[in-house]
This record gives sequence, structure tokens and C-alpha cells, in this order.
Amino acid sequence: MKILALDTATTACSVAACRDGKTLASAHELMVRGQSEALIPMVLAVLAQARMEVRDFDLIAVTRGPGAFTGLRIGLAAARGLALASGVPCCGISTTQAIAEAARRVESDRQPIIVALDSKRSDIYIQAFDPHGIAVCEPQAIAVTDLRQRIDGLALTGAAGPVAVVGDAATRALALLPDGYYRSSAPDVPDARDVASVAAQLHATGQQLPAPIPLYLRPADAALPKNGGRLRP
Amino acid sequence: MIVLGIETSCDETAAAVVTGQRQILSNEVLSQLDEHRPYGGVVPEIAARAHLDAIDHIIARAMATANVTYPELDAIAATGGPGLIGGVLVGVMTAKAIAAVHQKPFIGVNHLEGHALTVRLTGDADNNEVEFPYLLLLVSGGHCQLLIVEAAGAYRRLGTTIDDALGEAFDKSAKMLGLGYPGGPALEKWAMDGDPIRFDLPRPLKGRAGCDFSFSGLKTKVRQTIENLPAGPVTDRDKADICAAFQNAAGDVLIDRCNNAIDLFLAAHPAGRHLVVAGGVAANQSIRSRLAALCKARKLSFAAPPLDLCTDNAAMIAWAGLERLKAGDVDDLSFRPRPRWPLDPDAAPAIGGGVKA
Repeated sequence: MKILALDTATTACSVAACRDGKTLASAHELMVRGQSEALIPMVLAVLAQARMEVRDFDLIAVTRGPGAFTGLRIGLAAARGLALASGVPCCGISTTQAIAEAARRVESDRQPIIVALDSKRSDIYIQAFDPHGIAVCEPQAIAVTDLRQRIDGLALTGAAGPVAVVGDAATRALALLPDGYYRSSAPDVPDARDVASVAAQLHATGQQLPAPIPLYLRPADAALPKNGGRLRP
Repeated sequence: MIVLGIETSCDETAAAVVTGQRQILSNEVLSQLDEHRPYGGVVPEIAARAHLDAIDHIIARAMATANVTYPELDAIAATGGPGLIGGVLVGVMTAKAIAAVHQKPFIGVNHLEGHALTVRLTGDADNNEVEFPYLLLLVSGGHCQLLIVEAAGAYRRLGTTIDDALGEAFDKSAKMLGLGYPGGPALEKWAMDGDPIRFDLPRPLKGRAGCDFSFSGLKTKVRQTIENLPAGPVTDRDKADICAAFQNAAGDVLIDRCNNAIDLFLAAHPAGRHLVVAGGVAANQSIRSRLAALCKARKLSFAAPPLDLCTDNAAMIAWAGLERLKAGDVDDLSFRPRPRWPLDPDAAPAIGGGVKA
């Protein structure tokens, strides 16, 4: 199984070429903006290093959200463009699952993991995983006022010990949570190698891979004008 | 030469395949009118989402209709700005990805250059090729400028709007009257039955030197006219008369400004032959016929693209890409989309014009 994976969902840009669980070539750069300039040259550099072309892959995988709307569209448009032009199938992996994948390697005790991502708003994007890495809820936007109650409701703490929290909103989330949660030292941004790894695991289960469509978790900001903007009846 | 063009800078998701022999092999346009109608205008985030949803399907359809394969393309061109950046990014990233897979040149096209060069693809009224230089009135929802087009990539701006674009004034006036969305074409329809002299509307900058435009005062006067109508519902008569007055005033301003621009054009290029109009407002029949009459009086030849190539489309982006490709002017895959991208980089930004200047 050869997978070409991309991520531009948050504050990084990364590309990985993987085969059967091994990384053939990869690149990862932290960046707040500029992914639209960096991504395709990075894809070509990784392909050159792996001595492969896009059409050599069995699957293209990309983070589909949650994340920054612009970043999601940069990665998804690029991945879908690569797929369209090469005929290689394409799937979307949730950003939170890719981050949890890396955290599982760091948290050797196999703790439950909560991924908390910055929404640039008052709410926080959350997804929680059990010690086996199985998602116990869908990625969701949770208001900070509801966070503690919602996380408590997942009953993650207990026999498995404390819960690791990771992601660029982990510190914000931890401030709202009681004892029993700690900050993971795993990276807060996704890495395309983990995107490929999650895609390979999903593929191995035989289930249909999620489509490369964005997971915005919030409707577009737009206010309806009064009377459709008409001045008089 | 064959080029795939992609356009996603406003509210149309479009892809087209065009040849160097001025043939349009396909021209797919998916409008987002329904998505934006409830808001009475284009909502950037809604537009960006809709572009991503549709772009790969539209490109696949354009390629299938043209019966062309990716290896047969000579380049992939996409609008790189100016425009709504969320949409531009979707088109640019898709185009770069296709270019990367097939090792083809990528060209980030200036959307305004697409409009400016469309007549070189479609020809003049007699289907003759329109040669450089020509005088261009670029008039759309986002732009209102007069330029001398000396060559692909060589533009001299003579004037621009110092506030609103004319298309924007059309749309907002229609919105205030509740004419439906999109407003510009609706206003034109209502104006047909209207009396253009019942309401007195201003002609901003008319009679003044230079080629700049201003439409915010006209828009404000439309608002006041509507507010000052007798109490009760606005009648169809009122609507038609306000529309006719607006269109007439706008046309007077355009003719006055174009007249000044023709003087400057002919002084710079005594052998210059064409006045070209492009952009969405160029689809307005009243404005088209008044510009054609002006050309006749000034002994110039009038050229305007067919209506469906006046509004946003990808055939014009493919064509501008072809002209750039012929000149060997292609972009790197690290191309950065540009929300503001004036055609004439030497022209000083007009005060108040914002991105429209």
C-alpha cells in the first residue's frame, strides 16, 4: 500500500510518501501562513526523494478538518487536484485523528487521548480517543462553558489513569478541566506521516475511506440582510 | 497550443479548454447564484466552500467536453487574483496540482487581464482579430477602469473609480429596490419600461478633466430618491423610472469618461483603432449600444465579447494563459495568489478606490 499524504490544516505544512507503514520520504515545516506557496513544491521534493510519481501511489490522503478553513481548502484542493489528474483515489482524514496517532506513540502507557484544536473563536475543536486509539466521539466544536461537562460525560478518566491532552488548544482546554488530565508532550500540529498511517489503518479494516470533503464544524459566517436589503416595501 | 483555464475568483466556478487558434473547445460555468441569493450579495466564505465542492467536477467536465487529455495540454492557467482570496486559492491549488502531476507549466493569470484580452479570442464584430494597442473600458462588479492595452502584460491605466465600481452601484441600487438577485441584469430589465427623466440623478465627474469614475454619490441619490417617494409601497412605475434614470446617468458618465480616454488614446497611438468593453457590465445592452454609437462618432471600431464571455468565465483565463505562454511568461509552483493585483503596477492607487483601483 503506497500512500501520498498531505496536511495544511493548522499551522504546519507537511507531505509524506509511505509504503506499507514505512516512510519513504517526508517533509514538515511549521508555518502560520504561506501553505499555498509551499505545499506543491514540497510534494515535488518528497516525490523526487522517494523516486516516485503521483500515479505510482495507491491512495492520496489529506487532513479534512477540523482546522483553519483556508488551510483545509489549500490541502483538499491540492489533494483532489492530484487525484483528478492522476486517477489515484483520494480520502480525507480528520486532523484530530492524525494528531492522536502521534500522541499514541509518545504516551507509552496507552492513555486515553483528547485532541483540542484552536478554532480562532471562543469554542474549541475536540475529539477524544480510548486507549486503543478508537474515537469515542466525532470531532466537534465545544463552547468553553460546556467543555468540562461534555468531557466528563465521555467518562475517559478512571481505570486507565490520567488522560493526555494534545493539540494547539490543549493548554486552554486543560485550564477548564479538573485533575486527571495532563498535557501530552506530543506535537500539537499534524504530520503527514501520521495522516498516511491513519489512512493505512482505515484501509486495512476494509471499511470505505472517508471522502476528501471538508469538516468545517461551523456554518459560514453570514448575516441575512433585513428585508433582503430592500429599503421600502 | 491547448490550455486549460480555471476561474474561481468570485461566484462562478469555471473551467475551459481553449486553443491557440482561438477555438473554445469547452467552457463550463457553474454559477453560485442560489447560494448567495438569500444574502443579496456574494458571501466570501460561502463562495470559497462552493468552489471547493465543485471545482474538480467542473474541470473533469471541461476536459471531457473538449475531448482532451491532460498530457495533451500545454499549460494550466488559473485566476491568481485579484478577487476573493478563499476562492482564488481553491482554483490555484487545483491547477498547481494538475500541473505538478503532468509536469506542465502553471500560469497564475490576472483576472482583469482575462477580461482585457477576451476580444483577442473572440474578435471584433466582423470576427477580425483585434490588434494591439486598443482602448479598454473594464467595467464589472469589482472594477471600473479605462486602460490602454499595449500588449499582453503591458497596460497603461488612464482612469479608475475612486469609490464604487459601476457593477456594484447597479447591484446595490437593485437591492434597495428589491429587484431580486443578481441585481444588475434585473435593473436593466426594469429600466426598459422606465422614464429616464422623471427622477433627476447626478452624473458624478461628468464634464471634468480626466478619466476617473465615481459612483457612490449616484448610489446615495438612488437611496434618497427611494426614501423620498410618497408613503406606501413602491409602485412598479417608480421602480422602472428609477432604474431608467440610474442606467441613463451611469451611461452618461461612461460616455463622458470614454470620450476623454479616446483623446488620450489617440494622442498616444494615432493609428489605434478599437474601443473594447469588457466585464460583467459590458453585458448591459443599453451601455453597449451607447458605446457603439460613441465609437461611430469618434471613428473607432467597437469590440465587445459575446455576453457569456463578458461575465466571469474560464475561457478568458485560458486565453490569457495562452498569450502569456506564447510570451514564455509562466509561473513557478510557489506562486502566491494576490487579492489585489492592478493591471498597471505603475499607476498610483486611487484614493478611496481600495482594491478596485
